[in-house]
Amino acid sequence: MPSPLTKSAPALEPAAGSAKPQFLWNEIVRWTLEACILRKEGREAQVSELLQDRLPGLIRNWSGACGLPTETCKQNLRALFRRIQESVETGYIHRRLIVAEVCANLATQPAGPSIPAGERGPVRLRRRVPIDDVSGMLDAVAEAELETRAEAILPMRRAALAMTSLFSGEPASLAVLTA
Amino acid sequence: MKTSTLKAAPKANGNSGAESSDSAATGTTLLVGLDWGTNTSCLMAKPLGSDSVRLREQIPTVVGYVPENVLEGVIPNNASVLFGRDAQKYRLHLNVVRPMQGGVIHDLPAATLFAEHLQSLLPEGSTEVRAVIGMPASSDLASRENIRAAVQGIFTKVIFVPEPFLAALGCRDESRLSEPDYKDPVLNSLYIDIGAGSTDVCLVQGHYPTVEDQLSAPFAGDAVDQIILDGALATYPDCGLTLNRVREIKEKHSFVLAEDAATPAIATVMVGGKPCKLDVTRQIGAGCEALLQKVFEMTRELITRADPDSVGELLQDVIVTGGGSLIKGFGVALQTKLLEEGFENVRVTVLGENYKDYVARGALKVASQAKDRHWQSLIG
Repeated sequence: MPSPLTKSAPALEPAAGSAKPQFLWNEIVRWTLEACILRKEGREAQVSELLQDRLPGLIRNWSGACGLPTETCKQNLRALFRRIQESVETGYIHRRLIVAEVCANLATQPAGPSIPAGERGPVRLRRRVPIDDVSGMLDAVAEAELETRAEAILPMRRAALAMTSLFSGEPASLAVLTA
Repeated sequence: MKTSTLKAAPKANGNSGAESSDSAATGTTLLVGLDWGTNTSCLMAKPLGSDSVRLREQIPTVVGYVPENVLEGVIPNNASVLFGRDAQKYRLHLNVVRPMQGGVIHDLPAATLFAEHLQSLLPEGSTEVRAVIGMPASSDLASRENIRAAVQGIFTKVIFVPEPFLAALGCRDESRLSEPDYKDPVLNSLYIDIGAGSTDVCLVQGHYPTVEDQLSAPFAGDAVDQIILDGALATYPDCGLTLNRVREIKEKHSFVLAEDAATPAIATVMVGGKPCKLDVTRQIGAGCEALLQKVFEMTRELITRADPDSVGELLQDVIVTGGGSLIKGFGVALQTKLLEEGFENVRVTVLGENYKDYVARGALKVASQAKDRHWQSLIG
C-alpha cells in the first residue's frame, strides 16, 4: 500500500526529475533487486509499493535522461529484470541447500556456533521506511537484526551487493557512448 | 539521595496476544524511553495510553562503589553504591566507574546496577514496564546482547532502536505538521550526532536512514579528551591530569573558533597537594579542531551520496546534536567549512542543551506506537 508520506510529499520521490542516468540506473537496479528479494520473502505489500510507487518514476526519468531509443530502453530494462529475477531465484535455491546443510550439521553438534567477532556488524535498514510508519520501521529493524545474524553465518547480502555492481553501469555507459 | 534500591522485576501480565497500542488493558503498563548515554542518560516515562509524560530525568551515567574502609556516616544512608550526581558529588570517597564506553556497555555489573537505579526512579504501581532503548548507530549485536542482559529483570519488555531514528522522531512536532510555516525536520535534513564514543551522520529524507544514508566513526568526545590529555601531559608532564578532570575542563572551556581562544582555558589541578593553574587553551583547541575536521569530512561524504536534486534543500537543514554540539562555535565553524568547500546556502543548526531529550522523546513515541509483536520479552 502506498505510504501516506509518499502521497503527501512528492518531492521525496527518489531522484524524481534527476538528470543523472547513472544514478537513476543504480536506483532501478537497487529497488528491482529489493523487490525480487521482498517477493521471495512473501512481503507483497512492500513489493506492490515498490512496483507501483517507486520504480515507475525512476524508469520514466531514466528513460528520459539516458539518451537511448525507447525500444533500447525497454530491452535493457527487460534484460535487467530477467537477470535479477534469475539471480535471486538461484540465490534462494543455494540458500535453501546451504541452510539445510548447516542445520543438519548443527543438529549433530553439542552447541550452536557463536557469531565470530568482527562479523557482528551494526543493524542497519536495507529498505526505506517512511518516518510516519513507526511500526514498519520496527519491522525493518527486526528484519535487519535477523539478517545481520544470518549474514554472520551465511553472507548472502554481500553476494547480492556484488550482484548489484554487476548490473550497474551497462546501459548508462552505453548512453555515454551513444551521446 | 538516590541509592541502589533493588526492586523485584515486574512480571509480564500475559496479555501479549493483543496489540499494545490498541489494547484496552493499558492502565498498569508503563512505557519508558531511554537514551543510555556514555556520559549522561535520559529517562522518560508515561503510562500506556496516556499523553502526559510522568518522568523526565537526566542522570550522569556513573556508578560509585563505596570502599569498605570508608567511615560510617560519610556516605548518606551508608549506601554501598551511589549513582549519577550523587556518585559525582562523593567521588573522592568512591571507586567511580563508567558502565558505558563508546555508547555501549563496557562494565556489565556496573551497567546492571545502573539499570536498577533507573528502575528506582520510575513511578511506582505498574505491573509491566516496557522500554524502548536507543542504541548507537554503529553498535553491533554483541552490544545489544549486553544491554539486554543488563536490563533483564528491570524491564518486562524491550525494543532496541538506532539512536538516529529516535532523534529524528524526537525532533518532530507532530502537532504542528498542519501549520504552513512549520518546517518538518525529517523531510530533508542531515543529522550529526556527536556522542562520547562515536559520531554518527545520517540523511533523514522522509524515511528512516538506510545503510547508504549513514556514516559512523568511533571518533567523538572521548577521543577529544584523549587528545587534550596527551597534549597537556606533553606540556606539563607532572600535572597529574586525569581523563575525568579533562572531561570537566573540556565541558567548561571547549571551543573551535579562533576568536574564542582569546578567552584562555585555565584549569586548576592539584600538583603535590597544591593547587596549580594550567593554561590548556591550545590543547583544547587542538582536540576540538580534530573533531570538527572529522565531522566535516563525514558530512561532506554523506552530502555527495545524496540525490543531487535534494542537496540544495538538504544543506539548509544540517542539524548538530549530541554532547559535541555544545562545543562553543561548533555549528558556525562547521557551516563556514562547508561554505569554504563550495557548498552553497548551508545552514547548520545546533540543538543545544536539551539534545538528550530528543532521543528519549523519540523512544517514548516509538513505545506508544509499537505493536505487541515488536516487544521482546525479558524473562527473569
